Amino acid sequence: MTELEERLRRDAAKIRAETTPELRARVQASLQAAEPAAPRRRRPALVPPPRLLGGAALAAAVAVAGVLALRPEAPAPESWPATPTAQTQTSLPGTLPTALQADFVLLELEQRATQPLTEEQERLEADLRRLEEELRRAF
Amino acid sequence: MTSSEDELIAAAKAGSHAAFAVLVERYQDGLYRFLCVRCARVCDAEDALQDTFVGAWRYLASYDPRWRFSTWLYRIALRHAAARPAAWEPLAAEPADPAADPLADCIADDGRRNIWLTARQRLTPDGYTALWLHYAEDMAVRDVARAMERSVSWVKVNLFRARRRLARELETEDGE
Repeated sequence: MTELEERLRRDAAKIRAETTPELRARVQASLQAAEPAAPRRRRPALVPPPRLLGGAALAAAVAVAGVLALRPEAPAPESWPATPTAQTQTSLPGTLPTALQADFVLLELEQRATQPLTEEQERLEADLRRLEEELRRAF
Repeated sequence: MTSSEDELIAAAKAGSHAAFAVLVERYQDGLYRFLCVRCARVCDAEDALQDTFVGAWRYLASYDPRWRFSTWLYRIALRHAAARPAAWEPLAAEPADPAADPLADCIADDGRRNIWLTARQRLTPDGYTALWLHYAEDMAVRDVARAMERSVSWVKVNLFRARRRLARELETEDGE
C-alpha cells in the first residue's frame, strides 16, 4: 500500500459522524409509517394464445394445399444429371422443385400471419423497457 | 454477509419492522458519515439518510442476495444524495458558511489538513465518491462498481486518476 493510500484510510478514520437520537427517532418514525411496496410482477410471457397459433397453422396448410392443387406437377427427372462437384448450379425460383416452392409459400404465409403479433410484441417490450427505466429512475 | 444478517433480511422481507430496525441500527452511522462527506449541508445528509432507509424498506423485496446488503444500501444512498445539493456545488440560496460544512464538522482536528478536504476540492464528484467507497468504506472495486452503477473498469480508471491527481495536489501543497 502506498503512502497516499495509507493516508486516505488514516484520515478517513478521523472523520466521525454519528446520528443523533433525534435523527434516529425520525428515521424509525418514518419507517413505521412506510409500507413495503408490492413486489414487482413477473413479466408475462409474450406468447400468442394457442388458438391463434393453431388458426395460423391451419390457414398456412390450406394455402399450401391450394398452391399444390393449382400448379401442374412438374415431371420428375428420371435421374439427376451428373454435375461436376466444383461447378455451382443456380436455380431460378420458377424452376425450383415443388416441395421447395411449398416451403417458400409456407414461410411467406407464416411471416404474414405472425407479423402483427411480432409488431405488437415489440411494442409491448418497448413499453415494458420504458416503464422499467422510469421505475428505476423514480427509485 | 453474516448469517445473522441473512436472517434479519429474511425476517424484514417477511414484514418484520423489528428486524429491519436492527439493520438500520447497524448501518446508520456509516451511511450518515458517507452522506455527510458528500452533501452540502447537514440537513441534506439527514434527509438523504431517512429517504435511504425508507426506500430500502419499501423495496426490500427487490434486494438481490447475491449483492452485499451494504452495497445495496450505499447504492440507494447515492441516488438520494445525488438528488440534493452536493458539497462541491455552490449553494444558490444560502451564503456559504464554513461552519455548516458537514465534512469539516466531522473531522477530528489534529492540526493537519485532512486529505479528504483536498480530495473533495480537487477531484471530480465521481472520482471522490469512488475513492471514498474504496478507501474509507473498505469496499472492493466490484462493490464500488455496483454501488455506483458503473463498470469495474470504469472504477479502476477513476480510482487511478483520482489517486494520481491527489498525489500531485499533495506535492504542490507540501512544496508551498
